[in-house]
Amino acid sequence: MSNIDYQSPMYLQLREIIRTKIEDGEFPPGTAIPTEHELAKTYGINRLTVRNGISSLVNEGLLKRIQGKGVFVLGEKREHDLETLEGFSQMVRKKNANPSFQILTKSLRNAEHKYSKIFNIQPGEQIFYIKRVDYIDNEPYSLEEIYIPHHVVPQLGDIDLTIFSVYEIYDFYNIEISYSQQTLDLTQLDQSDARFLDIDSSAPLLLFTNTSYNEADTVIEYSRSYTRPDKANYKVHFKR
Amino acid sequence: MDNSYLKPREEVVEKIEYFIDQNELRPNDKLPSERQLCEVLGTSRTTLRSAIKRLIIEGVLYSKRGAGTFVSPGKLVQNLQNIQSLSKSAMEANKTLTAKVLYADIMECNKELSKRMKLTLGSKIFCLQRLRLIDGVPVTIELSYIDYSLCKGIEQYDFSQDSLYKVLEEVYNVDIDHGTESLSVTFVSEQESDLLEVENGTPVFYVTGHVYTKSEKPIEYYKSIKRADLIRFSSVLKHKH
Repeated sequence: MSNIDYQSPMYLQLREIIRTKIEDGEFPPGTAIPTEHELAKTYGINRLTVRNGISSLVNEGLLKRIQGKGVFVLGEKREHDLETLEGFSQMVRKKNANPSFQILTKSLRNAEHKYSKIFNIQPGEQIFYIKRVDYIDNEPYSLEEIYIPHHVVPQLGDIDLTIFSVYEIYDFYNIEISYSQQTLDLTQLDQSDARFLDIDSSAPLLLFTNTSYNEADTVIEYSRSYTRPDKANYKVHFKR
Repeated sequence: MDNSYLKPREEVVEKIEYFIDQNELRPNDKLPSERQLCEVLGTSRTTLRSAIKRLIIEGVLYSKRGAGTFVSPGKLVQNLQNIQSLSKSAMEANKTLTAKVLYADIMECNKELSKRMKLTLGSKIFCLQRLRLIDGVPVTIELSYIDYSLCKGIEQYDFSQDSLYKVLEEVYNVDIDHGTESLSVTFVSEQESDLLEVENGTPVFYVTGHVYTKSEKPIEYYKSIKRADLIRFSSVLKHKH
């Protein structure tokens, strides 16, 4: 991201050349970029340098390497905003894509200290714990952990969450989420969880932590969502 | 439905977080020894270690070889919904934000910049690259491109001391009003890793954005990378009406 000039390392200069060509549409999504050999020849740099430049764009999710076929330009990343309150399904459908879930866990547990404090309930009270994988067009997108006090929607235990999303269920029972406080961190998952997202345990993930409130400022849901960063960009508007 | 689901490790993770809270441990406070913790939390050493490892990844704890496990200093929270909150949030958190100017000069718009700034090729741009430090620790590299026609002579200011927006607003009467920002993840290059004092290839936040006047005239285009171990973003989500 530094200011690239002629003194910058060659692979960075190449990375920015390719990035600009993708942005300008010279390399359109779905097509292959020139081979390593061609790029090396065009810019008079060695192939290892070319490979380094390309690798960084593969990691950012702009290019995709396909064994034996070449390096392809991926379509623009999906854009999600960081200011609208909506469920995963709703957000995905708005982009004309197809959401789906795999429920890994759905259980009741005691709130214990941590969640009794978050929800302002007794440690012995029960909360729902849902762990699921979110898919967009059948590709794993995020791993979510959702906590909801049992008293908020006791019917949840009998509802199939692969059919109805949590937000749909809130709708059924007239539970209104008024706003949600979100924080964003970078983290990683253990191998056992990373495999659900089809990634390595060393891969960085965006961690969205949401505390959702109703009109009366009572916390009704707490969630953590470990999201692949190569699948989307996040947009936000700000004011002076 | 499983009625008692809570993995032993998750249980211990929560117990440690509660322990920190309950005992009002402060940043850089040391956790009791493994043996003591096992006793207090009623767990095995294997589970404890696995829980601590998770909390280190989550940034709650850090360990120093031979010295033990410590509570991490809290990250600086940057609100995404208002401009220039880094210096403000630093101030609110009682931390000192300083800047080191890496590059400051006037340049001509290339193709990419002219598109972003809506200026003709060759228009003058003030380019400022700064490393910003919180309490002496490097957290972000910021690269700003400003339409020079709005601020002739701005290169004379020393932006290791002066605030860029303050100079734009107070000296040049630029009406900084709103902007859009896009956020993703990138990996630091060798050069960047030296400046940010992290390992080559460390994942960091990559933020780009545009700043406009009330009448939508581009003032600034910026790119920055931010250390994710020191910065956390926040925003409030609301229904769109």
